[in-house]
Amino acid sequence: MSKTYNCVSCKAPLEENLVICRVCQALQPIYSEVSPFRYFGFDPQFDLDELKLEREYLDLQVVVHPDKQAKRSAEECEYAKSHAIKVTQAYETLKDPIKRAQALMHLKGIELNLETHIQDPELLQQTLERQESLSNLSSKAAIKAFIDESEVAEAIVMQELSQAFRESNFDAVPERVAALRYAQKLYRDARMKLMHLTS
Amino acid sequence: MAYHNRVIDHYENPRNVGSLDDKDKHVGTGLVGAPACGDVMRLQIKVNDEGVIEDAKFKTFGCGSAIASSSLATEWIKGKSVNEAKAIKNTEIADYLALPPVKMHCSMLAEDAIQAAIKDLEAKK
Repeated sequence: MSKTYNCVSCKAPLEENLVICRVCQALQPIYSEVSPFRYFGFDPQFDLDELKLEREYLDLQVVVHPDKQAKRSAEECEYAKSHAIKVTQAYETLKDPIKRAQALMHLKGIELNLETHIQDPELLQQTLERQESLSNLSSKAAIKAFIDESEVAEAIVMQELSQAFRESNFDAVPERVAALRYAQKLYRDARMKLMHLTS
Repeated sequence: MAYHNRVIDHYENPRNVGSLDDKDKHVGTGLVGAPACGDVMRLQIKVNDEGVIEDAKFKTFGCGSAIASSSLATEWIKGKSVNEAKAIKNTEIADYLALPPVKMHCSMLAEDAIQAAIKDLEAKK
């Protein structure tokens, strides 16, 4: 059951974000307990419309911008200041798949801590082998091919993570999040290596 | 933030890089990872019938502190008994390398790798 929020000014239900009432345009107070999903007016799910997120973010940034508060009350100006920080924080959480996964797990009452060391032999062995093969590459073409492979591998892990959430298979999430982190690292390391060769 | 000379020394001249035959029943392999920083560490030990670590090898992909921690770990455990190796604490590694607080977890990973290698060896018996 998700709690309903109403506009502090006109009392209309806030069906979209919790920053501004789309009916009377009043800025809303900060509800510290809300998830970044509810804050942006998104369903709490892993798959999200990235374009919609970007649009909403840009829009809300304008709404809470200090230069746009001239006609607002002192109270609303205070809300705007707090929202300016919170909008960016929520956006960064929603945009980053790992932070998004952590936020979703948090909603399920599970804290996903990446600082915990893992001993998953399959994932670690695979990562070690990939890192080893990257360190043996010396030509630009070979590194470029490696980058392409890494991009595909990362996309596959993203799909698996998305599937785990869709199927409410939360036990599988921590391992897939770790796999995503390693896939991102391989991709970044390969990009760095290519950059150093090119420069 | 400057690293201690010992970190730089182990990073630039890592000791005991390589691998041991995992199929050998005298060899224990510890494979551990820190997803937060994307580090992977493999540490292997070869133990003789007297329970002494004859050889140790490692392969680490990660930051300088992780490489230095695992390199130092292999150096320390060589010639020690399994029980002595088991007792090595990450704080000893961190103190020796003068790791800053943000890099403490790298020494923790090395300790975990030693423990995992010993556990793997014991599971083979």
